[in-house]
Order: sequence, then C-alpha cells, then structure tokens
Amino acid sequence: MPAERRPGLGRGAWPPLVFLGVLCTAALLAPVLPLADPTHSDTDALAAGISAKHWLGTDALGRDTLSRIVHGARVSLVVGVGATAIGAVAGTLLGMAAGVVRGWVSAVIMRLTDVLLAFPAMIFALAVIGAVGPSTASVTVVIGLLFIPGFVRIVRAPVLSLSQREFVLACRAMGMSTPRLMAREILPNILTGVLTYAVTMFGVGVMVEGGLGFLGVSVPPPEPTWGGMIAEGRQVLAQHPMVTLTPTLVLVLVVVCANVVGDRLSARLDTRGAML
Amino acid sequence: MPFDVQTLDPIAPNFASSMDYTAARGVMDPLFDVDAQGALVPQLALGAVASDGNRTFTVQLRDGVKFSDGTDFDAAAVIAHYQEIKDKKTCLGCAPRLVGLVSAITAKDPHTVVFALSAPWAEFPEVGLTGIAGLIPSPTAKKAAGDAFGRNPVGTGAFKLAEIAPGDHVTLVRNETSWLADRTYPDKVVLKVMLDTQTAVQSVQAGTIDVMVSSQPNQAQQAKSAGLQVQLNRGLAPDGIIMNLNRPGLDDVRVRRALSMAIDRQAINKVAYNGDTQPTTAFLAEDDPEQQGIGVPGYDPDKARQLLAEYGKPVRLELNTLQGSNYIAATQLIQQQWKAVGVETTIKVNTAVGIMQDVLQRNYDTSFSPAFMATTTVDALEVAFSSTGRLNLGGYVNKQNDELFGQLGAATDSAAALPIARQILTNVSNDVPSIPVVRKTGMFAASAKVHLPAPDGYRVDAFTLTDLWLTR
Amino acid sequence: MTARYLLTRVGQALLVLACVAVTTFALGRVLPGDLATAVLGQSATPEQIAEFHHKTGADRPAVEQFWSWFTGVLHGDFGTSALTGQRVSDALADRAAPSLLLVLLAEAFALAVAVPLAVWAAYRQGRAADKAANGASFLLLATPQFAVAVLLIYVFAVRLGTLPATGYVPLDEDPAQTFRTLLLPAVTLALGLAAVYYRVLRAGVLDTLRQDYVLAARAQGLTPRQVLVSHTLRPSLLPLVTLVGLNFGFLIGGAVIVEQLFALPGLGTYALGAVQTRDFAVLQGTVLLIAGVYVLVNLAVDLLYGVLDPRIRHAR
Repeated sequence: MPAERRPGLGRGAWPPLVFLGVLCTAALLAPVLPLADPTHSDTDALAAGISAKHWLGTDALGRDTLSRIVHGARVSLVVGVGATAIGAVAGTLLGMAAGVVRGWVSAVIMRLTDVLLAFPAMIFALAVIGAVGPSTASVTVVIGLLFIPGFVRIVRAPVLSLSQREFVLACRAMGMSTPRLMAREILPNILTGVLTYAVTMFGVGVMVEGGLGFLGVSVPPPEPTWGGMIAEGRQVLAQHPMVTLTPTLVLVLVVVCANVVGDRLSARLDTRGAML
Repeated sequence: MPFDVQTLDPIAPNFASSMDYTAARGVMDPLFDVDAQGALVPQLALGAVASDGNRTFTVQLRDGVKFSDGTDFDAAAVIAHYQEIKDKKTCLGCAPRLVGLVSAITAKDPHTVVFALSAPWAEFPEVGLTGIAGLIPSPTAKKAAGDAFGRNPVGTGAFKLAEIAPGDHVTLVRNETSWLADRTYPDKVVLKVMLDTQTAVQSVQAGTIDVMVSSQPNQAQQAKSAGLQVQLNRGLAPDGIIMNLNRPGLDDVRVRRALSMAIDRQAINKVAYNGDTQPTTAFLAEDDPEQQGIGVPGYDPDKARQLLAEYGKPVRLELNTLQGSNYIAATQLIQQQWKAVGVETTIKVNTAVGIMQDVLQRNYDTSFSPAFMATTTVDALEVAFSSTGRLNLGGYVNKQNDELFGQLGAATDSAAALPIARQILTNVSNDVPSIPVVRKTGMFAASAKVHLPAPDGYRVDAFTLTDLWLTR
Repeated sequence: MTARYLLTRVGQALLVLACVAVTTFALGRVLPGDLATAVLGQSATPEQIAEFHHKTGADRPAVEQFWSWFTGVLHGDFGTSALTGQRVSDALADRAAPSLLLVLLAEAFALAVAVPLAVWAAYRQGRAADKAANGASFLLLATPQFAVAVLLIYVFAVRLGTLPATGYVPLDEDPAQTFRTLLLPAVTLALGLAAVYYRVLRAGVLDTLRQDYVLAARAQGLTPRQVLVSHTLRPSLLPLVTLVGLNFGFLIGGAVIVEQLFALPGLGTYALGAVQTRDFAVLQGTVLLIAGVYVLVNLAVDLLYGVLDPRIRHAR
C-alpha cells in the first residue's frame, strides 16, 4: 500500500494538475491569446481536419475548434468551479448546522436536502433554466443548488461524531458560542474532506454542463460550450467524427484529471486521519 | 417524425404540424388533391363546376363511399363539415375567405353539393376543397366525440386510427372497408416521434424504422453517406425571419432592408444546409408568375452599411430561434453576417411554445423559426401582410396593400388578379416586413427497399401514406 | 422502538413528497409561456384563451388550483393533460414501464460487473489487474452519458448492426424485442454506475481486509477466497446498498438524455416535454411519481439497513 500512503500528492497527481492549470490559464487569457474568433466561420474550411491555420480543425460551420475549446473552457470551468463553490459553501454551512444544532434546525435542513434529492435533477434544472433563461449564471446556480445535498451529507456525518468528542464538549463547557465553535473547532476538521469531495464534484459539474449544452439549454449560441460543440458535431458524426470527438476528449480529460487529483487528495488525507 | 401528432381533427385550432396532416390524411380523404402543376385531382369529389360568374360551385361527390364507422359519405357530411368551419372559425389551415365568402351550402341531391359565395372567387375549388379544409370527417363520429374527435377520428381514408400514445407514437391500421382498400399497401403504419433527428437517421440505418421525415434537409448528407436513399422536397415557399416592426430600429425600413442585404444566402445554404436548399429573396416560388422578378433586397453588405449609417443609431437586436433545431446553425451565421455590417445580435434559444408565446405577445425583435408565414399564393399572404391579418405578427401596416387584397379577392379571373398580386408583392418586398432566406426544404430518408412517395403538394414533409410500400 | 422508527421514517417520506409537490407546482407557475397558445394555435382570440384557462382551471387562485390537484392525487387522480387530453395516470402507467425496466437492467449490469471486479481488484491491490481496473473506472466516471450513448449507437447499431438503437415495444407485445432495444441504453447507464460501485466497494473491501477479525480469519488458515466471500464482502456491501438505492431513484427520471437518444418513451422525456409545453398536470404528476419512487426505494433501503445493522437506527 505504499502508493496510497506516501505523504504529498504523489507524482501521479502532477500531470493532471499541470493540464488543468494550463487549461485554466488559457481560458483566462483567451481574449488576449492569438486565437481565431470562436464565432467566425471560415466558409472555405468546413469540418476541416488539422492544419496550420486550424490546429485542431474546424466544426461544421467552419469555426476554429481550438479557439472554441478554449473559449468553451471559460463556460465549463466557470460553471464547474462556481457550482462547486455554491454547493460546498452552502452545503458545508448547512451540514455543520445540522450536525451541531440538533432538534428542529437539523430536522428542517435534512428534510430540505431530502426534497432536493427526491426532485428529479435534470427536470429541476430544465425547469429553472426555462424560467430564468439560459446563461452562465443561471446554469451555475442551478447546478450549484443540486450539489448542496451531497455536501450536507458529506459534512454532517463527521460533524455528528466530532460533536461528541472531548475537545468539542470541553469548548461547549467553557461557554463557546455555537457559530464560534463551528468556525474554530469543527470547520478545520472537516475542511479537508469537503475539499476532496469538491474536486470530484467539479468534474461532475463540468459533465452536467456538458449534458445541458447537449440538450441545448446551456449558455445560448454562438458562445461555445463543450456540450453544445459535441451536440452540434453529431450532425456530421459519420463523415467528420473529429468535430464531435475533439471536444468530447477534452471534456473527458478534464474530468479524469479532476478525479485523479481528488483521489490523490483523499489518499493523502486518509493517512492524516490515521495519525489523529 | 421530428415532432408529436397533436390532433387528427383538421379544423381544431392546434392542428398545425405536417405530422398532424400526415396522420389525418391517412384517416380522412380530401374532396380533391392538387398535383404538382396545381390541377385538381378527384378524390372524394368527382368534379366541381363553376357558374354565376364564379359565385356558385356545384360539386359532384363519389358514390358508394363509406366512413370507417359504417355511415355513408354523402352531401350531408360535406355540408356539416363546411358549416362547422364557418361556425367555429378555428381552422388554422383553412383560407380565411372560406369563412367570409361562403354564404350557403346546400345539397342538390345526396351526392351533389352546391356552394354559394357572396362574391366571385375563381380559385375556390383549388383553395377551399383541397388540403386541410378538404378533409371530410364522419359527422356522426364528430358529433359523438365532440372536442375529443382529434383523438378519435373517423374518416373514409385508407387507414383507421388504432392507437395514440402522446409524445411517442400514432398507430394506423388498414381500413378494410375503405374505397381505397384495394390500392392500400401497408397493413399498419406506426408514426413514431423521434425528437432527435440524428437518432432517426441511425434508426433508419439500423433498420428499426423504415422512413424518416424531416422538415429541414440538414441530415441529408449524413443519410446519403450512410447509403440511404434520400429525397429532398423543395417547397414552393421560403423559410425566413419575422420582425417586430414596433421595436426601435426595426420601425425604420432602411434598417429592415439593411438586415436583408446583410444576409449572404449563398453562404447560409452552403454552410448550414450543405447546399441542399436554395437561397431566395422571394415570398413565393421565384418562377411563380405572380412573383417573377420581385424580391426583397439581396446580399449587398456595403449598401447595408450605408443604409445603417443613414439611419444613424446603433441597432441591437435579439434573434429568437427554436431549441435543438436545425435552425440554430443558420441562425448563428445570420448573427455573424449582421455583426459584419454593424448590427449586434444576441440569440435567444426557445421552445416551440415559448416562441409562439413571445411572437403572439409581440415580445420579440426578430425570429428565425417556424413562425415565418410560408404559403404558395398571394391570396394566402393576406393573413400575414394585411394590417389586420391574424398572422401579421410584426405590426406591419401598408394601407395600399389592404386595398389591394380587397381587390384581389374580388378579381374575377387570374388574368385580372395577376397585376394586383404583383403590386402587393412589390410593396411587401420594398417594405421588408419579414425576410425570406432559403426555400423551405424537407427530406425523406429510407433504406433501398422502401418506395418513397412524392411529397404531398401541401407540405415539404408530409406525404400520402397509401403511396408508401416496402419491396420484399 | 422499531415501530416508532418506522412511523417516523414514513412520516418524513410523506412530508418530503408533499414538499416536492408544492415545489413542482410553484416551479410550474414561474415558467413563462402558456399552454393555451399551443392548444389554441396562433389565431386564438383573447376570449378563446380565457375560456381555455377557465376550462383547465388555470384562472383560479393558485392555492385553490393546488388544493384541487393535491386532493385529486390523494384519490389517485393525477388530472388530465390539457395538451393531449390524455389522463396523466394512464400516461404514467405506460411510461413507468420502460423507465423501470431500463433502471433495473442498468443496475443489474452494473452490479454484475462491479462487485466481482471490485473484490478481485482489492484482493490484488497494487497489481496490474487492480491498476487496469482503476484506470478504467476513472475513464468511465469521466465520460458523460451522452458521449457513451453516441459511441455505442455508432458502433453497435450503425456499424455492426448487431443491436437496435431504437424501436422499444412494450413488454407484453414482444419481450425479446423489449429486452434487445433496452440493451444499449441500459449499458450506457450501467457503465457509469459500475465505475461508481466499483470504487466504493473496492474501498470498502480494502478497509475490511485491514480489520482484526479478517486478519484473525486468515491466521486461522482460511483460504483467501473463503475470507473474501464470507468475512469481507458482506460488511462491505452495506454502503453499496445505499448507493444502489440512491441511484435507482435518481435514474428513474434522470435518464432524460439517454431516453431521448434511444427514443425510449420513458418518464424523463415525458417530463421534459411537459416542461417545454408548460403542460402542468403532466409535469406535476411525473415529478411526484419520480420523487415517490425515489423516496420509497430509499425508505426501503434505510429499513433494510436498519435490519442489517441495528446501530444505524440511533444515528439517523
């Protein structure tokens, strides 16, 4: 078991981190990078292959695939990070509250998360986005809302057992207020678990956005999104498979990287837990 | 089928799609069909004779035809049907004049019906006795079913309705008692909804469905390269952009002309439609004598910029289009082309219901979607281009057109009507209340063993089910 | 104690369902657009629209509408689709079958692959087989359903022609065909599920293998296989049961994309269509049914769990 017990993230985590880093940087700098206009059609190069002019080829409307992937990353990464942040912050607060403050607070929070879980997620997303209109913000918030119950559950279980531990009971006996107790004593102990889960959920967020884009309810065209690119590429799948495969591969790669990082993180944290 | 069958009752207000028509056309027969040259082909009627200066039409009906509920097809059934069209006024697919001009419908004998009109109308049989209005339901069944007739249709057609599973499929089975029974080949037809056209092509390829129907030609290349036989049905009418003339910018004719001039229709046909349709600036078929030589301003980006400069204010628009549809590719190109002349556009992707809602409440700027009024005669354009027309969705007003439509209705023959029709089209093409972009083109795709029927004269994506068969 | 626990859980489940019903109803009311325009067509006059609203009850106060719908549901009446005139309960009965079959098949496939593989990989931890299985699970976890579906259709339906992509028929018409047409969509869902189950079970088995009583069993001279099956697998299966239950409820209405790509007449596409056409009776009925299945399955899992491991009762 040495591979999982080594302190630090381990060598295996670095390539994915570098890849994610490069992609994030490219997405951030997209407007200033020497990329083609992601919405401009090159009518002489429809669904073209790799060339000096178009490094990753073009889509069925002759738009540069590399540029669209980089610009699409802005949507995917913002949604992935944003939704995870919403889910993590709200979920952690609610989860801690539900774990520390027993009684009706806990009951209300747990029933609310049950309602969100019971509601068919995709239908919920489609209905809410239908109501407020598709945009990066609405997609992010909707996916973030759907992430909350998971975080609540991840957080509440350790908080329940922590709140029975001696040091917490001691703090309480010394008259520490509940919010202070949560911030000072509980939060540091669950933060690492939340972080690990968040990394995985980032990948899920990117995939869900892709699914919504595939159904045509994510950020509206011509703004490129990975899901939208994959869906549009299907029109020419048989003749020009790369139009759909390239964005699919990028999406898969991003999620794999996030999962590998998350896995390494949790392996490392396990070791820490054993030492406590 | 790309969308669901809503109702099989031709005069129900939500009878709108080609799928409704294809299904209803299987269950019911029209009095006449129209062939490719526009001539009448007898179906339930044998002939129509005009008299009294095109004010009276005597229609001879076929004898010995029975509805599938066992009742006789006769003059009473025809009268009941047309009386209902007049009374209910809900039929979307019926010419408005059918409600306005037909003053009395009487039976001369059990198989002869006389239509009396309050004003001359030379094209009455071609417009009023064919298509949606011409489909005759069983009056007995209609009375019994009431509003539910759309789900329990009874007609004289080659098929009977076996099952409707809303959102999934409609099953029709052979009607053994039909007058067409010896000419009907399929025993059973399942009209299956496949929202995803890609899935439909693949299902034809895999052999799970025999024929796919699409109202746009986008999948033609893929189907061809998969070795399927593909039939492109070029319609007589265009697909295009409707505009809300109450919005700033769009209230100025220079801006509307500039928008039309900014559109490179050749490029749209090539890029968004694989060259499978035809660019057009005409509201009817270009070679139609009423239309020949007339059209909205064509591609001229420099002139467009000049007009916009004359207008002087920046133009910002929203362009609506249908979610998950084949309109999206072309919509993105139009957005780019408008941007190239300095018009900033945001695209709003909406559901069919959402688009209809926006358009009816005039809560839109421009829309490239099925909301575009497509028709094959100037007559029918009245609903879109007269100031009180019920499909005038952009608030377009041209007083001269209103008068001309009145004159057109009163014209005694086609020679007299022609200059009036041409004047209307000239006015409309100058005013640009909406922008034709490409010819409406539908497609059928099937494996080699299927005999593909010709498209119905009525729609690019509808056909007569009796013409469909498989070779074994 | 047990009876009280049971009552509390059932009460909670009903409360959750009531909340779902209210939420769906509220969500329906904030969606822009009006079904009337779809039914009455473009030429509808304001009077016709008002009459339609009156007939469907849409002109009554929201609370009254909700109450009449809710009491109807309590009597087993889900109302009628204003768009198609079909009784919602009839449609749900038709549409629940493909959804249920799809999820059952997918869960069965996923478990059949994941359970033996996870145990094997845990046993061979760190070896090539374990690494390969881990890698595969990462890849599957990261591949979106729609990509898997497109790929499977392309390979099996289009290229090889061995399995149909579409063509679902009800079970009572032709069971063999039902099964054949459900294979590809079920595999699509199962691949993602299997990856999750594999990872959870492998971690669980590894954890159990380190427990003292397993080490003791090994020391007693039991063969590795005996230890794995009799001592390790059963305790490790507990978290898996929860997960299977959660996913069952999640997929019953959540397979929208898969249903659409394989043209399956399931609950997901039915609800999707209702959202798009603003057919509220359909939307409310479908969401309530899906939520009901979810709640029911998870209630069953919880109770099962309680029976398997009595400690749980106090923790909840």
